[in-house]
Amino acid sequence: MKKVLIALFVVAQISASAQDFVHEDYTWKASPQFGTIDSTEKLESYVVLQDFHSLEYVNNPLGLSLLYEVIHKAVKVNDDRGIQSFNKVYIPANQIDIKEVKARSISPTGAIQEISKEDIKEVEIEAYGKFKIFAIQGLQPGSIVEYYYKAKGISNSYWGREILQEQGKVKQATFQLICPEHLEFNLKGYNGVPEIIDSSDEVRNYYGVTISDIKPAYEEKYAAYRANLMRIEYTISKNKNKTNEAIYGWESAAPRFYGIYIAPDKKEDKAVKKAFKKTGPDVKTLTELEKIKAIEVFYKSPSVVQVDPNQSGKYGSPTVALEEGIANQRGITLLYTRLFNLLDIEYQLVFTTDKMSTRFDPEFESWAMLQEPLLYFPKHDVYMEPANAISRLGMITPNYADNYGLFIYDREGIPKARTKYIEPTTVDNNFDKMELNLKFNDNFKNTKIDVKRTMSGHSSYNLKPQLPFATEEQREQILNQFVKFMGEDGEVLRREEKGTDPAINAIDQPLVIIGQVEINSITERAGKNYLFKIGEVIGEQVEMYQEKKRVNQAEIEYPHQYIRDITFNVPEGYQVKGLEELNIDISYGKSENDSKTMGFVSTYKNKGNQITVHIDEYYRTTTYPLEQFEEFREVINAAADFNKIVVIFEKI
Amino acid sequence: MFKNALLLQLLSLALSFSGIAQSVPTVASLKAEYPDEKAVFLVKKEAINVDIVNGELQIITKHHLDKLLIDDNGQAYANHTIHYSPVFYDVEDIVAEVFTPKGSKYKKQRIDNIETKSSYSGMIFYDDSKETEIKFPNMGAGQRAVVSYQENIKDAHFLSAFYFSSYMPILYGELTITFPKSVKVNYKSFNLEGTNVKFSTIHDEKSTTYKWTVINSKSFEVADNAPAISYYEPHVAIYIDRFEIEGKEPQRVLSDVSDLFGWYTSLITEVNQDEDPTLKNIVDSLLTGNETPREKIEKVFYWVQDHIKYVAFEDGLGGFIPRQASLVCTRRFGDCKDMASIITDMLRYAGIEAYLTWIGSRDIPYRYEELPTPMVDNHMIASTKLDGEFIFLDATGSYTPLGMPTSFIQGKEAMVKLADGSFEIVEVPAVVAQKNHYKDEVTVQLDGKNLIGQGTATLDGYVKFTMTHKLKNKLGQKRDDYLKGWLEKGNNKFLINDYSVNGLNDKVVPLEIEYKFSIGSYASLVGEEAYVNLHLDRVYENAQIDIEKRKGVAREIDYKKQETHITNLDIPEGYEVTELPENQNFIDGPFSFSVKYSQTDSQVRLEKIVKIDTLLIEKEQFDQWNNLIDALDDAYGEVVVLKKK
Repeated sequence: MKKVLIALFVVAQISASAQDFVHEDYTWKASPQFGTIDSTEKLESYVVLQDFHSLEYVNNPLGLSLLYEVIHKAVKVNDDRGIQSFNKVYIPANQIDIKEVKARSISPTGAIQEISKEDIKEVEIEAYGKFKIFAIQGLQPGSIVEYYYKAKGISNSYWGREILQEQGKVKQATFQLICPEHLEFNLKGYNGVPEIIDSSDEVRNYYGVTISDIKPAYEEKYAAYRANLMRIEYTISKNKNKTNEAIYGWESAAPRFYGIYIAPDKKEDKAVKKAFKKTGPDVKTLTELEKIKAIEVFYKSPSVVQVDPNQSGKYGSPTVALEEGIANQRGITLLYTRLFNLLDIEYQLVFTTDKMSTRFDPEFESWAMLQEPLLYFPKHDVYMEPANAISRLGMITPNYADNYGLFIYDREGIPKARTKYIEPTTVDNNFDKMELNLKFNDNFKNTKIDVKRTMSGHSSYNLKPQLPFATEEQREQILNQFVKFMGEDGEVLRREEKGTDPAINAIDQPLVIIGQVEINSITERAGKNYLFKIGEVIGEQVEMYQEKKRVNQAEIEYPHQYIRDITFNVPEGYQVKGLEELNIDISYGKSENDSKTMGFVSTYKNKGNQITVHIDEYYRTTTYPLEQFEEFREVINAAADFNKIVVIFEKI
Repeated sequence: MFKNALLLQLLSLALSFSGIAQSVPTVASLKAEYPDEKAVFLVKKEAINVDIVNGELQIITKHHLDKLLIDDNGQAYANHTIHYSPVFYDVEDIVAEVFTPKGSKYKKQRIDNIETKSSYSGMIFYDDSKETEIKFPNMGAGQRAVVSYQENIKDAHFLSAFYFSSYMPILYGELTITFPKSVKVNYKSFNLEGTNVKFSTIHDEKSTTYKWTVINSKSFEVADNAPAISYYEPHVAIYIDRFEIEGKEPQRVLSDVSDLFGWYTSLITEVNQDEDPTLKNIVDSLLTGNETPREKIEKVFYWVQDHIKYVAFEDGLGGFIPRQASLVCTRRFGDCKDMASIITDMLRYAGIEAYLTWIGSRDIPYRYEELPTPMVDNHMIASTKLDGEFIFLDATGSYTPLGMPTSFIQGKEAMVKLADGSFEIVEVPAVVAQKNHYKDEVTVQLDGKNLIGQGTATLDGYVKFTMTHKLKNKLGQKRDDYLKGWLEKGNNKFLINDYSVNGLNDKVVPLEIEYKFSIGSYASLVGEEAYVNLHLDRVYENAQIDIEKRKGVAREIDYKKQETHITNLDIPEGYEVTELPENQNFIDGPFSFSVKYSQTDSQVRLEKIVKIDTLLIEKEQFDQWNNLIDALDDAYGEVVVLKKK
């Protein structure tokens, strides 16, 4: 297949004459002219003066489109940090022919140093592929780094996305998409991109936008940083030469992906059947749900099939997966669809995105959204994530849920597709419950704490399935961390686990760790009295401060809650003081009368000599609008406040 | 004695052979012996053959690696990567096979999934060395991954070291080097005490073989902040001393340090032979002509630090030869050698004699005399003499002032090229703790349970350079966040309200950070009493070494260091101090601290000084270190009590 592609490429190159590309002769200005930057911009380490990106689809007689790309970037570097960020340039060169690279520096006095061809090297970086690399020469503070390159390749997709915002200021960004007249594209801007202009002449359609003064995007805690960047999604919508129907939309995805993943394939089906009979798990006596679980846990074992971290194209088939034990996303998904076909288990194929990077937009029909494959079992209303070895049926990567997806299924033999919201797990699914019972010694040293920690759903989602593969030492180290969270000096005296069956997800069977810890740091001496740092018993808590004006709404991966029960006896000969601080109620709903969506509520009881404290901390939804950000921060910080509470044991 | 040794050797060989041929130990027995391992080397073997062919030295190493998976999740251990630089080595005849048990025998399957690509590491921008990756299909316990290949060493200076331990246990390890009478081979072994590595010499008519073997060697010890494995894992380094070709004079390769120096010098004869007017102009413009030699050196060194950025191209012999100073000047970037080149050249224009200087970083434990080979060094600097004392100029550290080496060459030997044919080995001194001083003094007031206050942090030496580097690379919010993290004290409700940084662009004066801060919910107020722990900064808290887990692996420290933390608490109006903890002094070996409380009418003061006076905590010092931390932890548990009068 690869050879055929290369052959086609050579032919295509010959048949495309020079005038075929609008930017064939693109070049920079011999004497560069860029606007000046103002005094506040001078304080930034760098300012992107120009970021030009043009994508041109060019028709050729063989039907495959050629893609011609021009990238031209100019950056003003104001200090050492700016220089260090831009003096080394990496140009991705995977499956693309870099036609021309030029790079130069322009000193503050206007002296130009261009790099020579010999200084451009080629490297291959693990998991990223080939790059052309070069270092910009002669840079000093105030210099401009300028480079452009043209690249030519065969387009293997007619859709994509362009991110326009970055951590530095961009003075001017231009994105252009050019294609032959008979092709039409849909483009949609997100997060503040102005209207995209389209125009056409007799032979070509032009789409594009130029944006000035794009603000830097800073990362914030509890925010979907990438998903909130200015970006453009683009996808082909029509090919007038073929049909006047929309192409590459949801409807056309149905037969295409059905054909790849769901429709029978004699050879592969036979091979999968044979391997399943020979080495697969025995599922004959199991219910359908049990069958799915047994198959998942078996084929996700690293000794059976591993997912190729490089997503190499050669591991795209279920037969290779079974023979070589390694598969890419496609290969592993196919393995499961073939197995479920074989066992006559009804499923739908789902594609979605990572909501924190790119939220799936059901209104914009682009195959660029079809990134992460899931399997949905309608009879049981549960999802499975084939390409993630540590996910289990009913618990997929949280960022793939609380998001839309495209569902592809079979309606009486006809492939269908529709978009649907993928429900996230709930606050009741995802809890972390800590039951702590403390015993003080006479000298207030070596306090013993009995710990029972129940971690349900995403609280132990990625831990449970990995436990069987940890060495004894790793297991010890990881699990001990979950019981000695109250202080670095804590020593685990004993520990045991329950609910460790790797086949069952952590909602249906939470992981329970029971143990005992000995610790010194939760008490301090003050003359004849002692301080009990009761707050530290719940472990260190995030303190969130926000000095700049918040930009993004607060967003978390999944709803969750923490429940803590602390019990201790007041030591004989002492009285306890300062308990009243343990009563805290910081909780909010969407508005005052709505039910609470987030909160930190702590209460205590004093029965004879025994004190019990109960804490409920919960985040019931995944997003909290900007106007509720301060309230969100208050709840987060309430836990940090609790963490500082100290009670006094006063000598009677 | 010798006879016995040989006999033992033969015995072990026989054992190992039977191991290979018939009775590979069972997976169950190995799993019982090595519960934390996923695979073992049944055999790890290197056979070096040195010969004289067609009047030239020929060195060929045959590698044989036989790995047995003892866990179904040991896949990653089956794969093998060969790293090499094609300028100095060729790799050929790679044979990779999976052995799958079938009854009492093995079924063999040849593997073709072998890919060679350029190697890439973030530190070196471009590196021409290669990685050949042999990927095995999915394998389970009981299967073996067997690899053999041949390495042709193109330059006699580049023999390397063989380790008798690895990232998995070695059941049988063997290194041999066979050489004819006309060749002299030297070797130096390291960390063999307490191991069962055996050495023997075998002579026959034509050649001599040195042979080392090891049986059941445990896998590498892994520990945080461990020095490089060459410091503690058993290995032997081999090198060619000299050889003789019939009818010719004996040819020295690496007989002693002068040979190493001679060879290094031969590589750089072309460097900076011509005068570069541009560079000379730069030097002229930097200097007025009235400077003392020290001032001249300082100006040149700082210019290079400030203007030449670190970008490394390792291209063929370029990995060994500094580029011309003129090129480095035009490019405004270079690697360590390039910086050494431009410094020496600029100093030449300034009329100061300066020298190219080879040196190993602290990752390398060897000294030139004990191992006169390129294994000893990996770095180049410039050096010069001032008032009879050597000054080391390493511009890869952008912030070190003149006279201070970069931290990673402290205590290392430098080979200074004084002239063609003349060199001196000089030790770069370690910087004393007092020079790397971090002092933080704060004055705080009680505001309910909160503390508010102001402080001055003073950073000098390596403490300063690390901070300068961070601050220069962070602006705005990121700088604020970083400083907040660095200065955080009391608890995580610590907030900086305002700060200023002085000395950021000065290479000589200490860096000073003045700041105003608050710490939420820090004190405890109960009835008429206020409880305040004055240890706002709890340096090294709970930093005990887990001696049992660490298995004797030393802990490396970047630099010797002294910290002073002072807290002055204003006594609130109407209160008096009712409890003041006791003072403490602690010293054990290179570790010490003191805690001193004092009181005036208006203030309570805690002054704490902690000093770490070593670069390496050796296993003999683990107890001393833990004693320090235990005592510190105890001191941190003491609280000052104030009471309403």
